[in-house]
Amino acid sequence: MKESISRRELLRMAAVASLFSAFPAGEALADGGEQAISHATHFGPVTAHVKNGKLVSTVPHRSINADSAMMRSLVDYVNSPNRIKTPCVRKSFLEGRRQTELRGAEEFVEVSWQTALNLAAEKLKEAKQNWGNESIFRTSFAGWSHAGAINRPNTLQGRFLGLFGGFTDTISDYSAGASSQLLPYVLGSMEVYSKQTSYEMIAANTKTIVLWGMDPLKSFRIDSAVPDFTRIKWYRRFKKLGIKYICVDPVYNDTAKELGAEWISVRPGTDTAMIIGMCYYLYTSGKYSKSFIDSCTVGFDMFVKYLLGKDDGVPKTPEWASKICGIPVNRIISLTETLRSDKTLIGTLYGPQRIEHGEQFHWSLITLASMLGNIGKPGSGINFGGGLLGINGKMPRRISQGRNPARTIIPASRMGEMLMNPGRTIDFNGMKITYPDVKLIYNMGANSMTHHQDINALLAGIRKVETMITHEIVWTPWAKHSDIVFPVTTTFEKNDIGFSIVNNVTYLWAMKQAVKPMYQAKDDYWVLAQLAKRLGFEHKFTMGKSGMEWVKWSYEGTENRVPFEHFWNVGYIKLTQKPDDKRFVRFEDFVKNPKSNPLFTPSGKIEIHSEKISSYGYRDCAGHPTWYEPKEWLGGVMAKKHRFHLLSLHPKNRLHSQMDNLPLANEYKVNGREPVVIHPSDAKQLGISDGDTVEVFNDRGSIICGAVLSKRVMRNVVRVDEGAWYAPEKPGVPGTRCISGNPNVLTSDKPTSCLAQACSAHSCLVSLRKLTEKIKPNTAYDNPVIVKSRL
Amino acid sequence: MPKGAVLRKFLFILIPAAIAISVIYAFSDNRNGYLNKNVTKGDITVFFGTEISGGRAHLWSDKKSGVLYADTDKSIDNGFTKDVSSLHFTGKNVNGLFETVVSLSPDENVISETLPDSIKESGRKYYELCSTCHAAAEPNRYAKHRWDGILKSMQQHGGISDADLSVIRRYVLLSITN
Repeated sequence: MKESISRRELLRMAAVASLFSAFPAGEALADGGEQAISHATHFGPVTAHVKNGKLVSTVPHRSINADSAMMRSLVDYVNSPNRIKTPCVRKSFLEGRRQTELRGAEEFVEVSWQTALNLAAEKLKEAKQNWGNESIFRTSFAGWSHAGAINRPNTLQGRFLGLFGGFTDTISDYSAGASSQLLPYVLGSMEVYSKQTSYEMIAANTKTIVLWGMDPLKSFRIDSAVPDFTRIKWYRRFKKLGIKYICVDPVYNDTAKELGAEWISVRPGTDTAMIIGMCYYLYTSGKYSKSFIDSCTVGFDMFVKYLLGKDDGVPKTPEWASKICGIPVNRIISLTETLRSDKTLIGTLYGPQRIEHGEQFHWSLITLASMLGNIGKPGSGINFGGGLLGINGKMPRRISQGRNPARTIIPASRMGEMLMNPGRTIDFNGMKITYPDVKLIYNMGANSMTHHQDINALLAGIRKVETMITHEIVWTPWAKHSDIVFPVTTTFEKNDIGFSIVNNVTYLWAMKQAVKPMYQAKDDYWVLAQLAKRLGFEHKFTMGKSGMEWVKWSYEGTENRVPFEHFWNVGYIKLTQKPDDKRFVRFEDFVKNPKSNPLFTPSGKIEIHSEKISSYGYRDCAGHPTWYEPKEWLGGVMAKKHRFHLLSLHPKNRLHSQMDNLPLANEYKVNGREPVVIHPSDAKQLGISDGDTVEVFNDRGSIICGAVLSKRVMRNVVRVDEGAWYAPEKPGVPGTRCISGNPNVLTSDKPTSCLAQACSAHSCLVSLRKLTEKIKPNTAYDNPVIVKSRL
Repeated sequence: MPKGAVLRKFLFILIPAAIAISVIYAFSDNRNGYLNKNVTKGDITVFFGTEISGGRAHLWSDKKSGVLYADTDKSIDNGFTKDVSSLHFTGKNVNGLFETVVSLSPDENVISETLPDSIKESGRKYYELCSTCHAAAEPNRYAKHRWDGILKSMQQHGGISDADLSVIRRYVLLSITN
């Protein structure tokens, strides 16, 4: 079918095209000769060098003084041999024999756009008519595959499926799922995504920064918007200013190493016990701030009863804590004294709460900081999220998703459980949620085969799904397990507008198209518009706007005096930070006058004990911070079977699974597989040497990795970073080993608790063994077999 | 009596009666429904979503703050006045709040028949501004006080103006049904 364009639309598009052809040659779409074109990504702003219509290099943008291998690897990302070249449909699916058990093990058939679009529209209608809109599930929620305001796949998808009548959606996220559900009860806001004390105030006041499970020099290399590396520069500047760093972490992370932090190696998943032990010391020594507790908190007496063991007969002494967390009693006490006497800022991100009972981590830290009386003071107290995202200025407008008429939701990390258990009702944050019977999964801008826990369970779940539609740039594991695959453009193949944010919008970026769409790839926006046309709501989806018209509309929302054409030509605008932002201290107003500036909690104060949470009666989340023994931890019974604690941390040279397939990976992969980092003493016991091939396994599955020996992980702890592409040793065989080293084959999809039902990936025990037999080479980056079709 | 006299007498009664009825109808206000826009009269502003009965809004004031509440539970603000002394009180007093009646005589075009109709526009704003990063939550998902915390932190996150936030907050709170 020929895609028809109305005369009116053609005239409008011509007018827009003529507007941009007025720009200097170097700023226009590349056709020939070498050109330097501004663009912006989740890895940072870059200049794209284009020669003869091909992207030949990507270098950090001249406006920022920062560099990273990831920014320079974006050229490989665009020119990857893994690019999906044409629309494809899994063979048996195309032939009408769904045979879902063949997903990931069967060839694809190359089809025309018309065939693929018609088939997808037909399957969407079928799902809606036969099982209702609730049976359609979208996996994309976070928007990590495109940094622009217009072309974010998750937003476009929500808009499209909402207009189609709705879909089952996710709530919360994998990153900070436990805290984001808990903290509104305790602090009255999600906090982890709130504006934090300014870096200027930290520089002027703080003496010690505790990096509690936090690795900012690694984490801030990427951003949900466009990183400008300001935050990384601040952490380095703090060091030069003489601020001392303490790292509380099972891993001596990159930030700790570079900034020379003192390392307190806490046993994984036991931070809460350590913090509660510190609270006990403060209480029984009388060294806590009674005035802060009285004026700014509620429920302390309930917590004290727990601290003293009034109900369970177990006083939560530093000795009690030491046995659990592995930190000597005198170190627990000396750290507490440092926090008490010095101007100390406790910083953390989200890693320590991705454990069983992860809600307790931030709650206990808030309680500790309250007892120290440091919250709301310049340079001390707590800093969750590392100063992330506080925006006062006018942001570019972004396309909205609108309303989802179906209203069905599940917590983000429950996908596998939902697929396996339609109709099951679970507790969630004071509500009851019943899992729908999902028949169609629509995936864009996400690769759940790497970020979801317990991949073998997930694979069993997706076999129950009738149709899997995926938009992808490259042949990711998820794309290989799909039925209908649409090849879509990278960020460099379309126009958009981006922005950087650190306490305010600091930069606006013209994300200019650098090269024409490669192969038969199309923009996500175009694909959805074509489907919308087939389903009868094209105009509602596009509002009659082309992609470039949306970009201009977005910029106009900033109300910047610089004309759009000038902004687009120059490539970026640097904005001035407001003086007030530099003086901002989180919770300052509240602490100065809690009555006039109450928090948005039921009491208006910090809730050390929450009556509301208590009223839910959850067995795994009481009304105050509590240490719960997890199922999987080094002090538990299971550790006798699997003696190592696996940490699947965020990788340094990838964004989750993005870039795992690029040459950059050769710098850290071992024998082509994901590294497993082992303490040398543990390795010696197992006869493992640096570079050996190792099997990491537990009752959920098995992965093959390459050994890296390092004293930067604790004894009995191993690290396999998340994001390696899943590669089954025997495709299609349940439970087969992953020969690429994807740690989510091993992690548990057990939720944190009934409150947040969040991801608990870091509560995971494993065993290790050295492999001597020959293992099949890693097939994660092989494209599927694709056969030609006449369709 | 001649026919003409009867007619004159009849008209003498009928015409004044018709005029009286017209005047009464013109000056009475039977407009009922819900405001779909904020309406200001003098120092008093009554917010959209407020129920109007006979062209008037029944509100509650503490006679201090200027806030005009929808009910004696202070479940939501329905208006504000810069000058508390300008209010007319009915004499009813519950929980330290005093009933006041604000006569608005609003135009027909600012009255909607139902509450959902009256907050449609604000709903559009909510779904437009609060679904750009994630899906917009259904108002019933959270309790009122939790919405305040969420909206405050999301204002920073989403770069939402104070004026827009005020409209969104009101939409969300008025939409909560359980």
